Amino acid sequence: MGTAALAGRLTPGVEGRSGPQGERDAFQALYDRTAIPLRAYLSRVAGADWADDLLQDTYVRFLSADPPEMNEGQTVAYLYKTATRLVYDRWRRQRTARSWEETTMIRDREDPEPMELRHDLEAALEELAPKERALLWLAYGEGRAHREIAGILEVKELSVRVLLFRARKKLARILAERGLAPEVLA
Amino acid sequence: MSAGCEREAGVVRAVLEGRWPAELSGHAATCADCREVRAVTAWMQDVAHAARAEAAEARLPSPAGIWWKAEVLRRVEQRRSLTHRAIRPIAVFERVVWGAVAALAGALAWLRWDELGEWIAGTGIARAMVGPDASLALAGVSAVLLVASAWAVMAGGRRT
Repeated sequence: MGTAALAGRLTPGVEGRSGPQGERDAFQALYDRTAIPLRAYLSRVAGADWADDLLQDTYVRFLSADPPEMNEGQTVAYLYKTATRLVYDRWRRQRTARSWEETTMIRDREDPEPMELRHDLEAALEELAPKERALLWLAYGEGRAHREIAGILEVKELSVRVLLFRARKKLARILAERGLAPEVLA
Repeated sequence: MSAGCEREAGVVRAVLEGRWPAELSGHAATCADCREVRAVTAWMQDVAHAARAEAAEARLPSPAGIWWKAEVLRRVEQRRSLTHRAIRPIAVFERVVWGAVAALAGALAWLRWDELGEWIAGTGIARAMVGPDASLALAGVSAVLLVASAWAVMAGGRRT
């Protein structure tokens, strides 16, 4: 597997090993470094219910693909990009099955306790589209540069600022509707 | 349309690093966009922190399982690719045969045009279809045969 060999180059201590065992160790090391932040990203962008499935699919795709040589930062960006594509695919499939609004209504009906217990701001974040959540997460949750965000979300670098601005405004509107905006965004 | 303040990146960095240069702090106090960025960044940091803590506690999929799944998929794909390569000559041959059948049908129709016309007129198909002019019926039947053959050739091509 070419990608696993790539992971080996990134992992001090396993560089000397070769063959399938070396590649497996290298992948394990890469996974240990990246799985928790990636799972955190997926849990807030796609929803906690899908996070583990999508995490697994992300790494399977990573191992199955044969990307060009990458450094550590590029590898991480590649993983995020793959994860984001999977989130979009899942979201599109879900939207085809039934409208997003219906899904939200049904979920709220099936899950009565969270609105009081769950953090209001996280609930507001859930009302945004996956792309908007991803933008806010990458820009403000992880402090990534606009160029990186553009690469992960496959948009133009110049568009990131405008998209972020719109996502922030939308979040502010949702918070205002919940009566939270003045306290949080003042 | 405005798209926020030029100093947004600096504000995000200041929140993440917890260091506010006096000048930037002064600007953020008066700029509505930067105030918003500051609040959203601080909040998203909290959300990210909580999500990472959750992820650290969660039982993540096993990397060995992921490796195994990727390996299985790779082998399946390899086998599919080998099968595809193995049956390719058969598929090509199939296309050639269908092409030859179509060409033969066309050639036969051209060579035996008159006899075919008489035969079709004799069966009453021509009268039923287009009246007494059998040659028109023959042209129609030939066209249908040719289109069917061409379709068969194309369908064979899509399978390869």
